[in-house]
Amino acid sequence: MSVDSAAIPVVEPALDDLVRVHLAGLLRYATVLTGDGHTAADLVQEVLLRAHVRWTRIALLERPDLYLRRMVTNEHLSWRRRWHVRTIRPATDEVLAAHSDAHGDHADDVVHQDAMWRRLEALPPRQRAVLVLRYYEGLSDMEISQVLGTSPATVRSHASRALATLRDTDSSTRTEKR
Amino acid sequence: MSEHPHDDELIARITRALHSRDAEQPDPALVAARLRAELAHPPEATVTTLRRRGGKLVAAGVVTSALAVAGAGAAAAANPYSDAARRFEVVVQSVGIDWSAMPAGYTREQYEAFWAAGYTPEDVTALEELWHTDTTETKARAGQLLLDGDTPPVAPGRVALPGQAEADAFWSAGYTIEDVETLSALWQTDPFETKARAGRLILDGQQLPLD
Repeated sequence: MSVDSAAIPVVEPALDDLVRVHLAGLLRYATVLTGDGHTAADLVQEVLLRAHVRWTRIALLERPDLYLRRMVTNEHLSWRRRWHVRTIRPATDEVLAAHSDAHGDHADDVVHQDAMWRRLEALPPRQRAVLVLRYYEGLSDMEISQVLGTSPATVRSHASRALATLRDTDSSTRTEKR
Repeated sequence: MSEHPHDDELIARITRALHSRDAEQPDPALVAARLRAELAHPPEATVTTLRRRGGKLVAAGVVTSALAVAGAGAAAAANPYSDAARRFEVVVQSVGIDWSAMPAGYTREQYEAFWAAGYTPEDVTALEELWHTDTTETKARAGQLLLDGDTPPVAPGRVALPGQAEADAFWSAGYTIEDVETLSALWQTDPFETKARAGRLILDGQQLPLD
């Protein structure tokens, strides 16, 4: 297959294809990966602008969905490093506002989810990405390895270390272990 | 997939915590509009307020049940950037209620004007540093300046990231993520550094060590 990359035109069908098939899923993934809808929108926009230009090639891949998640993940990992200041954000109020009708057990759930989310945020970025891909996106370790450009063994290692950290920082689990 | 006797419960809570965030997902229609605006005006975007979809929604057709409205309000608050939130605002405002799902001090008009002008996250960071404001206030202030016909002190898309020119050169030359992988393995660099280094070689007119 010979493709003249320099001559790939910017064509509308490519964008329609991307938007119709992939945009919503990528936004969901990016939102959970970054924890922030604004950042997710910016990140996915940047990725799709690049993917759009090369879509004729990407669309030929066996799993363009994984390829796009790979682009989003790589971009996120790069952005995180460049945006050191983004580690703390006032998400709690927004989350509580989103559940403004909460009371009783539901409010407790929100508090617990928020606490778990903060522990997830504190994980190293690649470990967190593995958990998002595994437990939110529902991908297999083989698929995650394609997204992260690594081996399934490394994926399992990241997951294992992430779970170990969460176990250690999770007081209720620690109590259960005794 | 459990790796520890107590992991099933831990994994269930991780999964719930991750799903608790998907309510913050931005509206795909809005992002698609931004993409189209970006492609339509790549070098210098003009300020064009995005069309308000659902603007003709009839209030009587929606305000049929207090419960439905309360539910829609909660949904709008959960994701103020969604199409549903926008429609809900139109409806409640059409019946005289001054309410918005947007964060305090940040209006939908400011949001749309700001992003439609072609600003990038890097521009936001530059404005934050200039004004010493947080992200929301920055976008609100810049959006309001645009709505007032003024010009924010940073022009859209003018803030270049370190290595951005190199990365652009790399992608423009038609290389793929697989090429990044190959070069990263060869140079023992991460993807960001790989693109910067490869792009610099391209800009210097040199060949990349690829087959």
